[in-house]
Amino acid sequence: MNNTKILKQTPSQTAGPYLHIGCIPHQIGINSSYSKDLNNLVLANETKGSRIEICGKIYDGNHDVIKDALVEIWQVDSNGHYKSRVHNNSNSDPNFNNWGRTSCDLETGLWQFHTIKPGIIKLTTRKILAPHIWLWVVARGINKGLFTCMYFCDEKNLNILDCNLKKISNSTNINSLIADKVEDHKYRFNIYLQGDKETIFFDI
Amino acid sequence: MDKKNRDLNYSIYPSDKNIHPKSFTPDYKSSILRSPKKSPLSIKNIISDLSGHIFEKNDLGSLDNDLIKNYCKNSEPIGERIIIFGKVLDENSKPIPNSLIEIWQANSSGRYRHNGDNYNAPLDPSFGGWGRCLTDNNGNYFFKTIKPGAYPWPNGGNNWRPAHIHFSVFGLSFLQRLITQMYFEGDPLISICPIAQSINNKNALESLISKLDLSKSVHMDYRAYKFDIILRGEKSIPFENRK
Ligand SMILES: [Fe+2]
Repeated sequence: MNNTKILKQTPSQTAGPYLHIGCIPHQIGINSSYSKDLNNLVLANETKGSRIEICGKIYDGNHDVIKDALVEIWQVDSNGHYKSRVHNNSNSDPNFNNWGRTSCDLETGLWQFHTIKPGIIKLTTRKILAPHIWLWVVARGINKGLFTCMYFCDEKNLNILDCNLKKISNSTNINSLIADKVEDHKYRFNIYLQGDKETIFFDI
Repeated sequence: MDKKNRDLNYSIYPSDKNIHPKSFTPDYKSSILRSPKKSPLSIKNIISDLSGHIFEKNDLGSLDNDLIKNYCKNSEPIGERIIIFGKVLDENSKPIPNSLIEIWQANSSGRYRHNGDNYNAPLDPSFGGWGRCLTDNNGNYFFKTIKPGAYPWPNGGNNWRPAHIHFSVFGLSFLQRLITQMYFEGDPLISICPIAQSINNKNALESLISKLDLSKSVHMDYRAYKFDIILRGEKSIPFENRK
């Protein structure tokens, strides 16, 4: 198969401090001309799966909370399916969008999503990915969006089997990928851009 | 092979390290405390690589890509009337249809309609500064807008941003997600801007500079600038290699 690349990728640039007016104006109270924000993680009564809240804060190298970031998430539905554009994945939940985004609260820096616990992804009969949620973070001072991946502290038995976690089992701070349980159905996933607790980011 | 295995036989080219800016670019002061010290870990993408949120035409309003009209009050916004147009393609030159593009920008005097912007240049009552559209079947997009002004910003010195428009591009896959900035041909501020210069590759920075293209201008009304956006491309891996 011919894999010759012809064009060069367009380089990334920081989203800057004013990303809200372009991406999620209504969320921060801007009187936008858009009919609605496109943030799309809306659960219907029919959406399958157990409802959870995930939240967190993002810290800079001074351990100060970053308040101007945008967080996007990407996850499977409760049965472990993405809507695929390669094949019609009739197994995927028609009442669940795999994608969502939010800005950090401008006062507290807290970001949060109301979503469902993602299912297990069965790659082959022997290989699995434990329940996880991909996150993508952009902000002023971040030159290129950062990918990280959140796993669940109450899925230890599955986390051990996870193909991606296995690949990086020798890395320090692997616990930075495991969200704490704050209360029933509520998980906290703080992100540290620098320092002892620096979160693992991925080049995927 | 079953459907799931077929998906596994596709992958996407890695993000090009020679093109994108490094995370720590100290001339751009905000990056100092916001740059991870460790390089991102490389893991071969699995399954999620080809999937991304699909937007529908009716998610958008009919004036969403017309920044002249979409916040217009009594009279149209002040400034140079321009069209920004181009294609979204992948590295294989394959046009990417149905990709959401969102833009945001300052008005003609360099001021954003955002509470965080304290620059004393005036707001324009008829200009919001945001737009969005979906690419058509051939990957084409366009916006009508006002050319943004340059503006000063706090970076420890006498720093001015070149005129620019922020672009957020979705492609078809979450892994193609891109946020960038588009500049204008001939702007002397580009070569001295720490944010533009965070890209340490002359050709890559050049690819962010839109070019005047009078062929797409509207007679006695708009001049046009062309800006193509190239996202990570899909590669097919022969089945035998992926055991
Ligand atoms: Fe800007």
